[in-house]
Amino acid sequence: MRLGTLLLLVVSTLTACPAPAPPSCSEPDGAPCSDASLPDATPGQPRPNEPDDAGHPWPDPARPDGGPSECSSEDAEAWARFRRSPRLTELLARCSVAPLCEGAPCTFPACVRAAARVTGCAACTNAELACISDVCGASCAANTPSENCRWCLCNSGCVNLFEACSRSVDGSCDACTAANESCPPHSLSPAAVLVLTAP
Amino acid sequence: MGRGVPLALCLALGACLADGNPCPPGSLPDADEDRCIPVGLDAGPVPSCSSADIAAWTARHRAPTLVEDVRSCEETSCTVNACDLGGCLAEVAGLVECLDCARAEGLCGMQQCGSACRLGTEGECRRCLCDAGCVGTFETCAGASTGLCDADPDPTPPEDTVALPLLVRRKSLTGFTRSRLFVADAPTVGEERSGYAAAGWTDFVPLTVAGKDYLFEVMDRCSGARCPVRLSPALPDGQLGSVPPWRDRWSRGWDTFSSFAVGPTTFLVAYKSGQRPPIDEARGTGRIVAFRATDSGLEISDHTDEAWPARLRIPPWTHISGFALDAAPFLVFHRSTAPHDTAVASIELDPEGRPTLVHRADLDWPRSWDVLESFPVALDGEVRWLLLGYRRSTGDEAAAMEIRAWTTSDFGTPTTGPALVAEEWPTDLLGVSAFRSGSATYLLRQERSGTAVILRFAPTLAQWIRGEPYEEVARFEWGTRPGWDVVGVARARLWNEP
Repeated sequence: MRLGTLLLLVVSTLTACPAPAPPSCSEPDGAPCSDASLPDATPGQPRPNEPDDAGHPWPDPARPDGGPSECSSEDAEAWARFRRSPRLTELLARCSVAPLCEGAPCTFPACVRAAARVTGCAACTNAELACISDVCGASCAANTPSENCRWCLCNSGCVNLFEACSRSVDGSCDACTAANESCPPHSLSPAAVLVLTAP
Repeated sequence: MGRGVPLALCLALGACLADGNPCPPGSLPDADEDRCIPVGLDAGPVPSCSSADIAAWTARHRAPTLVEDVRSCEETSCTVNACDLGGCLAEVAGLVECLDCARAEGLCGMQQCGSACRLGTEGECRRCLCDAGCVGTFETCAGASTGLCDADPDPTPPEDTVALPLLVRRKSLTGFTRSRLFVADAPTVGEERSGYAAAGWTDFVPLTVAGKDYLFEVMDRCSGARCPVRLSPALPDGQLGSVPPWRDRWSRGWDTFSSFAVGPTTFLVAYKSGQRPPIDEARGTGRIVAFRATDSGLEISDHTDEAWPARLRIPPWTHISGFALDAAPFLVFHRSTAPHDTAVASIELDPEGRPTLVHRADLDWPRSWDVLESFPVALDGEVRWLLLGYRRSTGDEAAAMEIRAWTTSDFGTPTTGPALVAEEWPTDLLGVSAFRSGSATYLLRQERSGTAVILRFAPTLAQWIRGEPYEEVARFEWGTRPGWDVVGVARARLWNEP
């Protein structure tokens, strides 16, 4: 290696600015990522939670591989119930405009968790909420029927994000019909929400 | 630069266009093609102007027959192929030696004050010649000051500030301007005022400083490398005042603007996106100008570029919009061209009141927006800042509009929730301007077809959820020949009590 090239490498290593942390792992104190998450890999690679070529979801960045889910079965069940609510889009709108919840700070995700009666599970609910806002923002507009919002959540991978993170499956997407792009709010017994504990 | 340069610059215009030079007259692209750099030209022979000539020329400008002189000279000295307006006016004024300088001003006047000096009043013509730098062109050529532009020759009397929103629109091609006070109870009633400004004004930005309302006017098309900017007061009679409390000349290429307020200080954000060829500073350059009222008038401080972290200088951005969250000011930066990108910065003031931008979050919007505007709406009695995004129709997608609320993530950073309203909007929107009157927020929506619509947002969230987020309160047909491409609402009061 030529001396000039070596010097350039050293200088660029010393002066390189760290890439901004992806939103999924940004911390309020400015730390790039928590222990349980990593920055995005090379641009162009699938992002965490997007299915790979084989259709398997990538591990969630907020949770160590194979580690226990921070979502209890009760939380996963409550979240699934919330997702099936006929007032889903209305509750999302109310929480984004005027978050109401006990304790401070009452953020948009905290308000939604309160509305869903979920006590923990922040990382997994945040993953689905970010997906709702970014990918299904128009389909889940306040003036849109909740079944159309659910269609988007089921078909854009938002539900998968939560399920992969919480290691649970529920039937939110079972009743979806492509004809009218909607997922009716069918009743589902709590037992149908299966929380997977094995890695 | 030597004498006679402005005329040479005008002559260079044709050469530039013939060469396909993307830069404004008098400038050439920089090697990195990110900006235009003014170039000096051979000035040629030095014109001579006697003090008698300068006095005669000055007197002609102050004469009550200025517009009449221009009209009659146009009839006698202009043919299909050529127009020696300056030469004719020099003859009317009785100039002996100073013909080149008069012709240089005449050329500038024809390009930028054609409407003001043919159809306007003497005052409008004089103001136009000063604003557009035509008198300055003569003075540079003659090597002497006329004093014509030192103070406004026809100042409007000082009046109280306007009590209603003032809708102002202008054709940048001609400078023709119309304005109308907005009366909430009768938005389509009321006199519309007309006037003539210089051609080349390209942007309006509403600013309120210490309870007084202004339009910040930007000219980005003039004969030089630096064009005028000014703060024009909005007057109760529905016009813009002719005595700006502040004016300056900025390099060309500032094309993206927003504003915000912190306490008694109002800040103007200006940015060079590169959509207009930038001169001097490269695209991606930003500045924040602070306006603060003092006992002696306005105190203005300019913080060019120093406040911009690297993340916010590049990609460059096409849109910047200010909003407040929990009473703190933020700016959202959006790039609508591929690859699209969105970032949010908070605004921190140091102990001296200098603003600094702090990158706070990146927003992962799947699509880009052609129009982006933040504005406050009182919903159920609480003021909430919303974000409107509009995307023009593409081959397979209809034109779409979404409004979302600014809210806070679990990490304390600004974000937006799902849309409060998402619907199809007219195919080809030019832009929107939000303003407040009473407790309501309104949106002036301008379409390329020449139609302008005023919408009033619903005051309760229940109405938004029912699918009734706004109602149309007025509709105007403004026409399109040529289009009204500079639109603003003075007294928009987005950052102050309406």
